[in-house]
Amino acid sequence: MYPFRFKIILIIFVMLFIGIVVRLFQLQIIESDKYRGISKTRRITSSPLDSVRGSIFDRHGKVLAIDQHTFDISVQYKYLLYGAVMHNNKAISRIPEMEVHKKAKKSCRECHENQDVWLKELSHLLRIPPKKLLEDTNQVIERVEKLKQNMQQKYGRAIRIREETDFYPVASDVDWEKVIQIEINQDNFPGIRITPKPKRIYPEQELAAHILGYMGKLNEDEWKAHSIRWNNFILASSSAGNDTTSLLYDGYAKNDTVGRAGVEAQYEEELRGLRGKRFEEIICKNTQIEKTVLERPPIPGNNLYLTLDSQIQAYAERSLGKNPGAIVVMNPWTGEILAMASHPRFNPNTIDKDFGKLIRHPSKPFLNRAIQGALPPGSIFKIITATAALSSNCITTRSTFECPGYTKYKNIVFKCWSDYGHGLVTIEDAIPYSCNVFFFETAKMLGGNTLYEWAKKFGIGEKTAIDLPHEKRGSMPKTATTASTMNIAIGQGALLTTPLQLVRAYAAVANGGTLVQPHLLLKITNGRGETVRAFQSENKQKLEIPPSILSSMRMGLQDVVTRGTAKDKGLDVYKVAGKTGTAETGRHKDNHAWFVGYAPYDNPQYCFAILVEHTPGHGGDIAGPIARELMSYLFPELNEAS
Amino acid sequence: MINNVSTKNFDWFMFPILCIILTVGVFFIWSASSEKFVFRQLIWILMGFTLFFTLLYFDYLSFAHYAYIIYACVLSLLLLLPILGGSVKGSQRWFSVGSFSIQPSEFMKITLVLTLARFLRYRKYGLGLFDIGISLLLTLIPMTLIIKQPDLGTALIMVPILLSILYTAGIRLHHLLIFIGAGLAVSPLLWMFLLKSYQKMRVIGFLWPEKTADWGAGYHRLQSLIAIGSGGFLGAGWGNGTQNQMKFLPERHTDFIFAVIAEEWGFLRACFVLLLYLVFLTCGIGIARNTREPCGRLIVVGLVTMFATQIVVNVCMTLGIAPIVGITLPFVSYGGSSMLTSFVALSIIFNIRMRSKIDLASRRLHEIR
Repeated sequence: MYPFRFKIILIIFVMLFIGIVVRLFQLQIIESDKYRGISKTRRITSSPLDSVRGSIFDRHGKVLAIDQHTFDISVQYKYLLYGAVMHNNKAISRIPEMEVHKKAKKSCRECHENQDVWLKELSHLLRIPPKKLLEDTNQVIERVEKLKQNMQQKYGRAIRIREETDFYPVASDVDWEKVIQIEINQDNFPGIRITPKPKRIYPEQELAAHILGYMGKLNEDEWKAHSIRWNNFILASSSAGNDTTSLLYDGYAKNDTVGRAGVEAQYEEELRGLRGKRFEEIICKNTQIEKTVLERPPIPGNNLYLTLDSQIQAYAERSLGKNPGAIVVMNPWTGEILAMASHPRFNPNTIDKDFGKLIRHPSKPFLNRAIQGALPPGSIFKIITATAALSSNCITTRSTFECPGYTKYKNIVFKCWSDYGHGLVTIEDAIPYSCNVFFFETAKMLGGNTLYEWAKKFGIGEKTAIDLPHEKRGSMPKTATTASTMNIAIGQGALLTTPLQLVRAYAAVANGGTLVQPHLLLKITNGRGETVRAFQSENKQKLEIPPSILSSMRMGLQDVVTRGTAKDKGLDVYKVAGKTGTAETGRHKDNHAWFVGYAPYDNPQYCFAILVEHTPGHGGDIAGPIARELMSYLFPELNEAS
Repeated sequence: MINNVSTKNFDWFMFPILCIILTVGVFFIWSASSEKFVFRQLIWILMGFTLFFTLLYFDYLSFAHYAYIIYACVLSLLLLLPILGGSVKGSQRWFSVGSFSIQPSEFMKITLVLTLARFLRYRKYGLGLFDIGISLLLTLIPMTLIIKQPDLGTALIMVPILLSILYTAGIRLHHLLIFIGAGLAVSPLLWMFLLKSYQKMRVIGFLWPEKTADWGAGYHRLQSLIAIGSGGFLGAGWGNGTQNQMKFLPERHTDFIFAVIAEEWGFLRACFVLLLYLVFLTCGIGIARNTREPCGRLIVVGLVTMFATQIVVNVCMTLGIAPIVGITLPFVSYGGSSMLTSFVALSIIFNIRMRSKIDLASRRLHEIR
């Protein structure tokens, strides 16, 4: 009837098919490379391989920190959710979405039948109540449900999100016997994944906790910052044409732990090693999926040898006892820190559990008082005032001042610690008896600027650049008035120093005028035991002090023990030379007791500082016995003589 | 009646093409899913062939004769669906009868063709406004019900069916153009009142894929494009397509089976498949041309248009140039309902071809006697 119209219909069909072929040509021939590229990246997956963190040893090779394998248990979201619903947790019911799940419990019990088995079995096996297992997961469920709800609102239907298929941790530090139980009875533990997780162990518990530091989880922001830095590093090294092996390693992963304090933080880069990578390429052959695996094994972290002597560290901690304060023991010639004790302490093994409690504790147990406790040094500082005055020819060894127990400047009374005074005093007596008036008079003549310059030379008010994070600078004020200079001269006023700064200053007196670089690192070795690098001091300063002045200082320090403020403390037996200090805080009977010195005086091996914070007593009375106890440990062969 | 039909009038050209298409389909279902699905698909094909040959014994005119009754029955099924039907993926399209599920919207396509053909069979050139109006009504009632299910794809197939039948029945050209223009003008109303939000998302996702490239509307499209694009000229080889085997491609063995063919067989062989389909459709149009009986030719045109629309929309969907509506590729996609419907439609086409020739021949035979 209308054959023409059939032709038109056929032509329309042909046109449509030509259109399809053109589009097919465009996709498969012209843009093929683009899509093939996308397809290829899909086929290669990479997963990180954890590396082992390096261990920390003391100078004799005793283990102070080491990685140990434990296992984490995580549960797939589906099972987690159902376990939580079955356990009828109150915290979840706030989300309206959860009401639906709750109702679903009855209507499709069969389809969820074995999804909460894991909860009972796991709590039975680990002997942890189910409530505790689900404790941390409420937040996860809340977050995922909220996300899911948002997606649903956005698209108007239920959308499967990636978070739903993820695994979430419920228990950690599970030992291998229990893990084997789970592996054997896989049917009882559906949806459970076990991941080996290295755990940091500190075998000596609290020993040197402040120096070693502790580990903490990376938080979200830090992880982002790290991964951006890592990506930039890779970009930079690849664009600069450097070795591209770094491309094959991974930076930090989420939930990684990093050193948070002490050498764990300071030497994080050395200790953590490089994460390896496993690449899997997926090949499809005749509807079978095959995997080929390429592995880049992880590089373990380097080992750290510290200058610490764990024996001396233990002595120092025992000597310090329960007094809040610090003890530093240093080799006066090399600056090697042999011990650095600070009290109150913490146990890095249980830090996860105790952190909240410790961080709020008024005694501030995280504070490493040896480098972070900036306090007035009291009479300890007098040795610097004396050296400054003698070296700038302001006074001589024969200069004499009379001490009536006080001195006046512009109608202000400056009191000596002894109400009766010390009579006529030269430098020889001023140091042993710690006469304030002598140093007040000296300071008047010396002037603030000269004292400031000398204090800076001795490293007061400067960071010692020890290899520990968060060191305090203290403060050496640049004084304007003579009155404040007089206060500074006896270590009071606005002057604040750390124990380490004082140890370094006294070590300079002991070793003949060299300001050493205090350090904790002895050497770094790699996994095969080869030394990667040893500590090298680039920061040794020779102070320009005439030897005669130094020797008179040393004489003064020896006299402190034999006839001065620290006599009758039994320190003379150990050939100790040192200085007591009692820094006043301004409150009645609230002082900081100091004893800083070195021993033996004829050939100094140890230079030490002892600080006891907030004590009613005087330096010699409080710090003196501690020093004696420490010496009895350090020189056991001399103990009989006392 | 059976005696009147000669096997000589069976279309021996179209039938082998159908068999090739079916074979290709089975092999790619194998590649895209598993042996289990292949087995089921083979059963469906077997059932399809049984239905195909059984229906050949009945005269198509008897179908046409009962067209209005069939129409009323299927329409009432569609109306009952919200009350009795089960729900699959959030839409009610199915009746469960024992272990089978019946999808009335699939039958509606064929029923509509029969009804329209029956209604317009003796119209002369230049259809009256009354005829056009009634045809429109006959189409719109089931269409609305099907969109509400919601099943946008099946509903939209009815538009080309109506247009092609009207065109062949002799509508005036300017009427047709006015008709299409009016349809376009009304479509915003359809958008506002009939579509569900996910259907809107799909259309938006098709029109502006960048905006919805994340999970949701743009995802299927992108996966399909990657599959097809990575196929290249010669393809990855059967069973070696990554997008397919690694299950990135959604609805691999049903709606997106053409993407699997294009990925694993490449441009050349995908074009071969398309050519098979084009020959298949050309044969169909040829049958319509050679049929003198007016009702038969309208039915054939309607059914061929149904096949053509399904093929074009399905392929365009995988190629990312049509919105993703659930339309299967006839004789290739996995699925019983679609397979049986296609076989029934094809059976009617063959039926008409066999009887269009036999009428003349048998009459002459009678005259000679």
